[in-house]
Amino acid sequence: MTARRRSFLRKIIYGTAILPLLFVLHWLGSPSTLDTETAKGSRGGVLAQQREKDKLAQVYYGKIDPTSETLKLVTLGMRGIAADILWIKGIEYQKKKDWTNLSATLNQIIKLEPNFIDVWRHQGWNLSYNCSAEFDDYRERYRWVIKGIDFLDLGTTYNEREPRLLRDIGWFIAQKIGRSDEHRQFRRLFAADEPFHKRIGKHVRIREGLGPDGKPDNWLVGKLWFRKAEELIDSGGVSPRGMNPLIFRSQAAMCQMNCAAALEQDGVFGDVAQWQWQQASKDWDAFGQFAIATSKDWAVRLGQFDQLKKNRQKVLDRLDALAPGVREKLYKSKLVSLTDEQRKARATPGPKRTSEQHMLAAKAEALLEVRPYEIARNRDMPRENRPKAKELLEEIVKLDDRIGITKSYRGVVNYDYWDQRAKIEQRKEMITARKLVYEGGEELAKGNLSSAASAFADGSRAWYRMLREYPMLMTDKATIDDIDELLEQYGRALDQDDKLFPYDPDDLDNPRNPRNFALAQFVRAQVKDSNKMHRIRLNRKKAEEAEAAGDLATASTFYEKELHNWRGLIADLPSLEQMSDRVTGELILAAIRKYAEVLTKLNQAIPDDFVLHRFVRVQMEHDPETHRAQIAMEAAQAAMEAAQTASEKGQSASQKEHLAAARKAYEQGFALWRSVLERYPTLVADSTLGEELLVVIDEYRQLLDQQQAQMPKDFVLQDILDRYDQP
Amino acid sequence: MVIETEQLPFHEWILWAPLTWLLVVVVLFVVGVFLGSLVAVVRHGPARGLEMTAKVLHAAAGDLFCMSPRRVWALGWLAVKDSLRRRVVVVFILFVVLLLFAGWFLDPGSDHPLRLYISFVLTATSYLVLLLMLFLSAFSLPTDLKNKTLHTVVTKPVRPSEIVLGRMLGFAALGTFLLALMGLISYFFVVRGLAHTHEVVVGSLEAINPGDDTARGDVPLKGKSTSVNNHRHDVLLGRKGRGRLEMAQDHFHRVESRQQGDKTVYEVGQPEGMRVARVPVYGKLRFLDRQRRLADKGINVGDEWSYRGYIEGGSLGAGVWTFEGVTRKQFPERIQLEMTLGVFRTHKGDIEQGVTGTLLLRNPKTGLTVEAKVFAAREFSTDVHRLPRKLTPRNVYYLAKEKDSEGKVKYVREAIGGNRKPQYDLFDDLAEDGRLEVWLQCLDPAQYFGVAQPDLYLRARNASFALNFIKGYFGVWMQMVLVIGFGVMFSTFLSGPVAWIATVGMLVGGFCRGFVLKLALGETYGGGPVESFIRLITQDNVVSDLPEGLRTTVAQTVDAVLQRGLWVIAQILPPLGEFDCANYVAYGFNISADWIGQRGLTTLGFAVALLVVSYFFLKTREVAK
Repeated sequence: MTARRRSFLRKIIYGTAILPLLFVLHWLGSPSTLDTETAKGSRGGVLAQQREKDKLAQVYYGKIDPTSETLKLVTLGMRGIAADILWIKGIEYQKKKDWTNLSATLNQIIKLEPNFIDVWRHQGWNLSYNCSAEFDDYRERYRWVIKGIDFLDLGTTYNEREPRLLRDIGWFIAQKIGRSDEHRQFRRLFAADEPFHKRIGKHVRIREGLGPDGKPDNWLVGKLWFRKAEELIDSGGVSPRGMNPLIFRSQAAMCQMNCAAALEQDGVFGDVAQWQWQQASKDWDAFGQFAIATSKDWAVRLGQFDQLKKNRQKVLDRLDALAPGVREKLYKSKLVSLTDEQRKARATPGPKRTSEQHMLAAKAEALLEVRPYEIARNRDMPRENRPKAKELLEEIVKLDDRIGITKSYRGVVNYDYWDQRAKIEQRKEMITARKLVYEGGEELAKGNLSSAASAFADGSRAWYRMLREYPMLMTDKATIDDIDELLEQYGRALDQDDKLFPYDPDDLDNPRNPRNFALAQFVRAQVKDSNKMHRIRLNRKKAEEAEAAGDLATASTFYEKELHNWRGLIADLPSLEQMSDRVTGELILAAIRKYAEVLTKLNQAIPDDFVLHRFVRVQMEHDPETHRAQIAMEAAQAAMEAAQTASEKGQSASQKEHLAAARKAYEQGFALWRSVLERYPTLVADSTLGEELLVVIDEYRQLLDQQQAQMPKDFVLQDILDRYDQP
Repeated sequence: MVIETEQLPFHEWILWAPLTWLLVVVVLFVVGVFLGSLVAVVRHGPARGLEMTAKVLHAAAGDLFCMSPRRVWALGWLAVKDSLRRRVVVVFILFVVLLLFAGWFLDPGSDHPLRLYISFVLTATSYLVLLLMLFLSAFSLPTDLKNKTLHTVVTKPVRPSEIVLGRMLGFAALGTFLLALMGLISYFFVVRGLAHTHEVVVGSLEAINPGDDTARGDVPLKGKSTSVNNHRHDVLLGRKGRGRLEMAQDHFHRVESRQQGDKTVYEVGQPEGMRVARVPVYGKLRFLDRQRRLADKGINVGDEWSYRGYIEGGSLGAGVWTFEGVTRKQFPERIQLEMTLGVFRTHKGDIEQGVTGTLLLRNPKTGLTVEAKVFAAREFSTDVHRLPRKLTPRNVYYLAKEKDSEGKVKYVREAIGGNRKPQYDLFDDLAEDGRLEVWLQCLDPAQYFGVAQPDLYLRARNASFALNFIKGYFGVWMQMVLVIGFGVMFSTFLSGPVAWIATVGMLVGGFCRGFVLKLALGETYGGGPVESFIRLITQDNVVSDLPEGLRTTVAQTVDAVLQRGLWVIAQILPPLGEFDCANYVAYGFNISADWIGQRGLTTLGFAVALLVVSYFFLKTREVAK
């Protein structure tokens, strides 16, 4: 075969092979065409039909940008690589804080990858959260948060059917602006940012997001974006794409809750705050009625939990009615089978149970529960009722399944808590409590200490009433934070006014007594719930055991450990230092006295670095005995000055009289100080006080010199002299 | 502006750079002569070989030193005509098309739009021109040789050196013309692209002084402008209705009002203050630690980019810049000090307040120190402080320099006592002999200021932006000359495609010269090539030391040799990255004569060396004999 012929044959073979491929290509890739006047359009090849079916055509995404399309073309299919290179450049620019080039690079990346959602989401987050944090000026930070939001907003024009971007915008506007460290400043800037409002006003009805001051509120505007994302999904054909529907659907309602809370933080109370919380409650109820798809063949509505339980009870009653007396019989038999420990645990009232008893009681209650199948399958169930009982049992099982899943879903979004919270917060009493605390804070900032303290005291009482009415608040983190802030501010106001938290010594444990600090029991509850309390008790027990056994060294070690634990607790609840709960405060003082007593028995001095010096000093400074001692010392010093004046005038008789009066006052003062030191024995080791007392003792010595007298042998503050009067 | 590599003053650079050049040239010459002689000796025997070498050297001296400018001109013109035949005009058209569509990618609403525009035009020009010259220079000679068109030239009485020089000059002339054209268009593109005006929002105008009757029409007013290019300005109007739109996006506008019937019309001018070329006077930065002792560097606050060192707030720590030449002549009215600080907070502090700092001026001779300014820091923006000639400081004291027990230099504060004056003159009291120290301290405890040497400078004056723009293009021009030099040199002994690849290699190497040098000096993580290879195959990280042993010793010994070779290569590579001065123009800093001088001489040095090498290579070709 000649070369020419071989070449010809090869061409024939290639041509023959290509021909079927062309048919395949046509079948797969021929484009769809529209109907014209003269001819009917075609649905196109497989790919075109699939694209149409899954709405993958470019036109379905959103805006078609000629720049972007041109760039995609000129990169000749290498746009992924080009975007990667730009991405790396962007990282480098960000590292070198070259914000202008970073922004320019991001603009180029999105031109290359306009429909790559993660690019928008990642870089939007990067701008709003990472880049903004690089700036020191909060106004710049806000500008970069907005840049991130604008970036996402641009993304929505290229990807109109992408709920994740809408959700992210909602999240950034709500959470980033409303929850940052600079949330007060950010919210203020957001409310005044008219150009931004104008920009987003093209996508959401910004008028619906106005706060009480008539300016957009970030939480309410965020809510609008969440609603927009919800509407997009509800309009059909768009999937939530990886977003947990439960969390996603709760976000708009949560925005309303946060808005109401933020307004109160900003000092907006009264009807406005109440209306916002009422709205929050409505939104939450609406969320509770929304059907959330599950992996089962039915949807969950969080708000139907109580109804489901009622339904179950009704079915259960019908089951019981089929076999009267069976439930009681079963219960009795179960009760008999309980162990003695379980019975004892059940009989012990809740607050008095040990942790072990709590477990035993819980186990006993579980054992006592009569399960529906035990009734349905019981021998005593009349034969004729058994088919019906089986039917009811199946119904109960189904309801249990629904109840279980609904309960679990409610737990995910903390449904009960927010439901209750919204209802409680709209109560006038609650709004008053918050308002009083806010006013106290304002007065404190102005330096009006007595007005501040008065407002805080009223606020504390209002809070006490709410806590009494809604005990669930005692364990609510947000409430605990709010009250901690109240305690901190109230404590600051009292401290600046040189006072401790108020109390009535004759009616200490009565929170309704207006002379007592109303939230003392709340503080005590916090102390009780603290994990440090367990260690305090344990160390105390070991110390007492060692002391009883005569091992004082070990006892002192454990007492010292106990005091360390108390110090940790005071660090957690700083208001304790100012006796926000006097019962706990006295416990700490008792522990300190016990420790000092053991050290005295051991003939050891209180260490200089005693852990609770600060606490003791605060108590000492506010003790009436200390006050009397100080008055006595001042009187002595005044008499000394008078004696000096008399001496200068040459009035020796008068000088002697004044010296005698001074000596008497000094000795009275020393006696009072002795009494203070007995009450707070560790004060001996407080070098600041020691040095102060030494100065006074020196004055007394000078007085004695002038009287040509000697220091008394049984001088009451000899221990202070021994400790601090070093040559 | 970030300047990561310190720019030496010309008078310091000139002391060592020509010597290094001479050393490299001599070494290359000796190696070349030795290799040439060796080949000649091997081929023709010792006597004949050496004689031939001598002859070649003699002829080379003649060829290189007795070139005819007329012939060089003619050959250069031939190169130009040849290039025009190859449709170089296409590149120009491409450039114009790029500019036409640039508006799609450039955002005039960016924070610093001029930076974007300048970076774009300079980068686009440099890419296009360098690519064009790469092709022209690498393919020209080989194509002529292939088509035998060069034979018609060499039959004429021309020297090989004239052929090479003619080519180089021809391409350079063509490139210069193209660059000039592109530069001109670019300038107008930038000016036009950023031109805009605003309108004054009349409703926003209100009296600056409360109580003024705005209806009277001659009271100072403040207000807002409309938003254009993603920004708006604060408007400040004086009594006569004249005023300005305050700084935003690096520019301001002048505004004038006039009455039109019973209406006041505001006329806003074009942006100003954007196209500048600041002439900075840089100082030498040293850091002091919290005890006011000299430290090697600033504190590292954990920033990935270690460009800036940090100064601890609320301590005696400071950044000290020593300036030379601070004279009345250079700063006749006042000293304008400009700085860009980094701020690092270890706690939130007062969110609404910037971290405060202080600027001290110290006379390095007497130690007299005055507090010139207390300020709140503004990060990522140029903070301008104008210091009048007569200062009335709140704090004055001496900072005496002494050595502590460890031998470290330390500054000790001494009270000024009765020597205190009510006013201090910048030049008489502080910069007596033109030397002045500026101390920067952060006042807020547990907060930090981050600074690098170029972050604080004295602004002497403003140079012409247009001239600076031309200088920016001069930087591209020098890169182009180097590419032409290498392209022609490789094309004298390699075929077109191979010469092209070799020049591209040189180009890439030139742009990455800094990295190559780092590799050669062992300043990169992971060790040399062999050590890195071991790490790669053992999947070891680049930071931890390799286990001690024979393998590591051998690897590191081989690496040491390879790194020396790499060092030699790095020295031969043209420092193309250093010629890029787009940032200077974009950030509004004047390209100094020092910069131009150093790069110009470097280019000349390379061009001369490349001409000589090209001559010898061409001489070895049959056609040139």
